[in-house]
Amino acid sequence: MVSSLPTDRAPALSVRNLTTVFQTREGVVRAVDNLSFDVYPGECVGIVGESGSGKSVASLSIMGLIGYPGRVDQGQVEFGGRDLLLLNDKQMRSIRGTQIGIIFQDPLTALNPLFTVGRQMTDVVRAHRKVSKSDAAALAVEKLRLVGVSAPESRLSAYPWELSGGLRQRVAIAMALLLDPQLIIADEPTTALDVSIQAQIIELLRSLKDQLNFSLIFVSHDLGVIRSIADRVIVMYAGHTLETSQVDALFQQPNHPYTAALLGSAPTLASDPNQPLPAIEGRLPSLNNVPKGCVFAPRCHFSTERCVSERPLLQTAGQDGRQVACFYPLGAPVNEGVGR
Amino acid sequence: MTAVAPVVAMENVVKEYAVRGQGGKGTLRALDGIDLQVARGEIVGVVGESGCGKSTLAKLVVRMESPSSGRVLIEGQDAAALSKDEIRTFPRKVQLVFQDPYGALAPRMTVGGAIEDPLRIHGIGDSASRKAKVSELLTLVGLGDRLASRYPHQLSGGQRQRVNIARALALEPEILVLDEPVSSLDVSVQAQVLNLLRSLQQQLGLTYLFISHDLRVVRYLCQKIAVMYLGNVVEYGTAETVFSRPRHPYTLALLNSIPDHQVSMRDQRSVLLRGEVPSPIERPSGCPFHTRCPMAREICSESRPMLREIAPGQWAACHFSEDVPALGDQERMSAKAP
Repeated sequence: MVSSLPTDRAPALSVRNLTTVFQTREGVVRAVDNLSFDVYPGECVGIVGESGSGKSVASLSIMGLIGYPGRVDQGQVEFGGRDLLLLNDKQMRSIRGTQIGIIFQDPLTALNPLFTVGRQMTDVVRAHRKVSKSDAAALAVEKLRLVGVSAPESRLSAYPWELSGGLRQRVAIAMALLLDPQLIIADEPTTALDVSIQAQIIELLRSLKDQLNFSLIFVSHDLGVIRSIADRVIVMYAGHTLETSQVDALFQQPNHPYTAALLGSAPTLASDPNQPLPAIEGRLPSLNNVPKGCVFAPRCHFSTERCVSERPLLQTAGQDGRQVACFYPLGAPVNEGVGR
Repeated sequence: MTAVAPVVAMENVVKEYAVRGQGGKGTLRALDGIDLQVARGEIVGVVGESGCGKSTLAKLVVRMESPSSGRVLIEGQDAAALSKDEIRTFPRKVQLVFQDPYGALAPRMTVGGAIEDPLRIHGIGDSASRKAKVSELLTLVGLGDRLASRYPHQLSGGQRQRVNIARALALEPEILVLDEPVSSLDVSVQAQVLNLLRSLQQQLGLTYLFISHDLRVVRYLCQKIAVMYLGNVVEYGTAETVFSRPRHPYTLALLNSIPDHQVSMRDQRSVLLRGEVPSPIERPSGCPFHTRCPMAREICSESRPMLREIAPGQWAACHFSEDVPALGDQERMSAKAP
């Protein structure tokens, strides 16, 4: 397991200052505000956040799947020596599926109910490669076997709705892997699944990543899921990155008060049933009305006047490329004159 | 299972639905002989994965469905055999809170109207006293009464679920059936609603039947746990015993499947349950869990194990309960947050 940033290698994907906006009746909202991160080969970067944090919009922006009324306002997404944001739809389509694989939350809507699994998989192969139908089918069988689908030949003739939820998600993963992409983007891929199936899928993704050495961006709202798969984590809130860190360091010692509060408010099997859960008071900010200073300030126990009026930038904190956007990060020496 | 007279008692409850599929007509057995008792003032959690029958169980308790056989007794009365007058007062005993707080509220009715509705339907009080009651209920669930004139779309998810809870409490029921009440909420808001549910239960002496797929939430809130699998209760006991020393291999597997943010990936156990839940239309013979059970032996496919008391206050339906291994690492169960 990597404990430090693999800086000796070039990142597979490099996102810089990504900002995605949506035109709404109330005005322009920034769903993702100035997001920057790298993903190295064989690494899993987890993006964790609640509703409206921008985690899904970020992954859609990278894939070039933001449609009206949204648009990527600025930034670069470096992948394979190119800036994906400068590509046209046709160029982007050829990258999606071949070099970037995508896994969505709900495999039933991601798969077309009118076509068999085999038809959909061979269509993907033949859209990008000049191969015969039987070769494409052979590739589909190979990938289905890779993701642990039993009797893969017979599954080719099945329709997605004939499969169980777990099997469907395996098929969706096999489809994402068809053309050996360097990067997989998975948006809440286990959220619709039961826990026992979720555990199987996480285990599968983990072992596939180690085996095939692709990079993985894993988006989830579930802290436990993120801890069980990610090497590094980005914590997002109201479109902003509040903290990035190696996974264990983040969970052992969160630097941002939001991360700490989020960890505290999620019940675990070890939570004391006799104590109230330390909930985060208040509600998630509306993107129409994002606080002027720190986006978390209105709900933060430690906020000061400075937090309300000035927005803290993401700054290096400690080792291993850890970053936090907070004037008073936890675990750091207390600044003089700050009433905590 | 309890000495005190239960407020909810299910006696060998079976619920079947006729289904039509590719193979012609069939019968889907959603509940396969449930015996469950809930004592007054208890919080009983019902956990299980999709298709285990937990929501069907909730519907039977609130009388949205009636059992195919067996009885559901609410305060000793058979819910299916109520007279006309008794049916009218039944909602004053049992209320249901749904998972989706948005879907459960009429979009064109104000929050105040939604909470007042049950009072109006049951002819309680006059307009002024009902308004006062609405404002009292809103305060009770931690919302200001200025929200009474708002519409559901103007509220956050957490506020909407509070409104649903207020409405469920309007008739002052004794029993709340909560079907995945926090599942669609964000983590930070989920904690607020869990705290609210707990304090309401203590304040009003309510009895909860809390349906959830999330073992972490159930562990936190509930005193008793019923673990369901394919229409059966496979384990029942106090939350403490069931979670610290499960006696059914399915419970153990579920506990092992939970991704825990307090445990590093390197330390996480990878005891995985193979396969998926079988169809309730073609149920396995013998023990319903034997097709996925790592401990299954020949007898398991032949004879169905009955729920039996394994330890004081703990029942399990397994031929080999005594052999179910202890949870891998006990320190995980008692680990404290850093």
